[in-house]
Amino acid sequence: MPPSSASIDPVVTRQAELSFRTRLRNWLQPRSWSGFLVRRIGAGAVAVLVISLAVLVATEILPGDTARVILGQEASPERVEQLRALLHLDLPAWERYALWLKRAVFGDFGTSLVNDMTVWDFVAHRFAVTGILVLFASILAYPVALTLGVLSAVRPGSFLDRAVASLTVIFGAVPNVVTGMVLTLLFATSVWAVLPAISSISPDKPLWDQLSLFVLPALTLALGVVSGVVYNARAAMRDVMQMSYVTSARLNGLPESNVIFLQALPNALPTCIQAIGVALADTLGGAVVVEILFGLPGVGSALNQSVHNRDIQVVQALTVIIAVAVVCVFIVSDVLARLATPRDRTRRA
Amino acid sequence: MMKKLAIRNWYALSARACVGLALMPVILIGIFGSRFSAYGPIDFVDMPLSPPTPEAMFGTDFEGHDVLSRFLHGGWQLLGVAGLGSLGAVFIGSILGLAGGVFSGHGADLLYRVLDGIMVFPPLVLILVVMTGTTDSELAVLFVLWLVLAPPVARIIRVAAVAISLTEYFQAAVAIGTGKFRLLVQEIAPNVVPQILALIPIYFTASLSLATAVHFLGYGVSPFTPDWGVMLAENQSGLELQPWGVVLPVVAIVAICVGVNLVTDGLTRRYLDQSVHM
Repeated sequence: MPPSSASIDPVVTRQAELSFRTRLRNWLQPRSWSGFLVRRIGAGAVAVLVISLAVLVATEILPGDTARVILGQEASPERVEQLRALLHLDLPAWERYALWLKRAVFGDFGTSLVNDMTVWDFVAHRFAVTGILVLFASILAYPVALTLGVLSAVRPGSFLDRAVASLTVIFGAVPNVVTGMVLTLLFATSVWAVLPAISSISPDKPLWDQLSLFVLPALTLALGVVSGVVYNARAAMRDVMQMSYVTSARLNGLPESNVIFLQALPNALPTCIQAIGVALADTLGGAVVVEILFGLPGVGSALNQSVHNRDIQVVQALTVIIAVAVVCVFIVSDVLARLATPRDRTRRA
Repeated sequence: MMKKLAIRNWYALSARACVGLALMPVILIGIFGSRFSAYGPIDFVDMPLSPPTPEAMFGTDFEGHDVLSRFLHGGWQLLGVAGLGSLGAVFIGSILGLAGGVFSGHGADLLYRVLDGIMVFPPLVLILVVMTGTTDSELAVLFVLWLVLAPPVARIIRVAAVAISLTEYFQAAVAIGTGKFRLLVQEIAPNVVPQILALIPIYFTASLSLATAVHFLGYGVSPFTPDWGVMLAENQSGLELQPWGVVLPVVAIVAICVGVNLVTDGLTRRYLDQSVHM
């Protein structure tokens, strides 16, 4: 009798019998969820690191003494020496970065150079403002954008399609500052003075009671990102509507609403989700201008203020925080897009 | 439809592209406007924020300068930065992208990882970060515009270049032992020129948007510079009394952005990709 063939069956190899390297490779292969997540998070971490180097590179590559640039030409040599010591400018660049990174990993971003607060104290209450702004803008932008994109894809060449196309070309081109100014002119000054032009947030009232201050800023942000989402939603939906399975669904006599929303839309959804992810990341950047334009005390205006003051510690911290937020948005949108892809839900053999 | 419009038949431009063409002269106002201004950009003309008078057609700004003169002087620097910004970004990006189509290996991988890292980040935030470390000048603004806008160009051109490197004539050129540089110059570059040219106006509007925002935030320009972005910032507080200081630059920027976008849209659809009808 030969030995039992079960354990040496070449087809049904049990996981335990594979070498560690093979199992790791299987686990990390891009099609599996684990490999997908590890890859995405790894790439995100690399992107955050690249960005966190940007401040260092910017201060290092460019000519001139950083401490001198921060303090201005007329600062006394003692002050310059003091600042050099504080920023560890006497250390070589990589050691300085390592020191900063070691602290930053544990959430310690140091102290602001300008107002003696820790960076966290300086920015903590600003997150809520930016958060509400971005949330508000998203509520305004994405449902409308997706609806318009899908509707104009369903009837190409219709009046709605042409109107939406023209509007996306127009709104896609105009900078946020200008949109904000136009909205202020229209709704806050002479034409219909219904909303406040400058949002003076009073700190004693909760932010939720002052939502009217967020209407124009959020609308400005929303108009800035809406065209990208419409464009992508329309393109994705049109591609799907031209596929043969949609035609055969129609030929099978399914009602048009069923064809559009149950057959076609699920396949266009992943692209839409990713377009929204890109737009959200754009919103985080656009928030800088919009917050300054409308005087909102958010993360963006804090960033601008500290860049003006050359408050390197705060700039570096805010940059990394924004970078982490952007990377998280991209990872979440990639995961959602993958969850929403019908093809990926079917089990592979 | 509307066959009587000769220009539309001639160049086969869409109605939207014609609207765009009609908006183009605003760029000329921006560039040559300073020759026609009645006053200097920092001449004191009247009381601050006074309404339009026969002397100052659009009134005065927050410091008593003539709004119209300031507007006429305020375009060339912004448009110049935006123009050089897009030209430089497309040039740098095209070289990187073409190189990415021919060269492969760890160096190219690393380069594209770094470019991806830059692209992940909102451009305006990146611009602000770089401005922290630099001395505040228009040259620095130009440099950051290139830094921010070149990576997406590189991506697009690389895709086009890789597509060409898969064609048979390219493979044939490889098979007869053509050197990499020669492949780049003779086989790939001539075939991506249309795409590269199409990117210039697209990145002009992007670069104009960023430059306006950067000037609005007060980087690269001194507070006295007559500039459309600066005018937006300085006249914002006087908006209720005298809106013209904001209205003129707003109208000009909108006209240029929308005009360039419409023309590009029309031209690329006509000459580049017939299949896309947005």
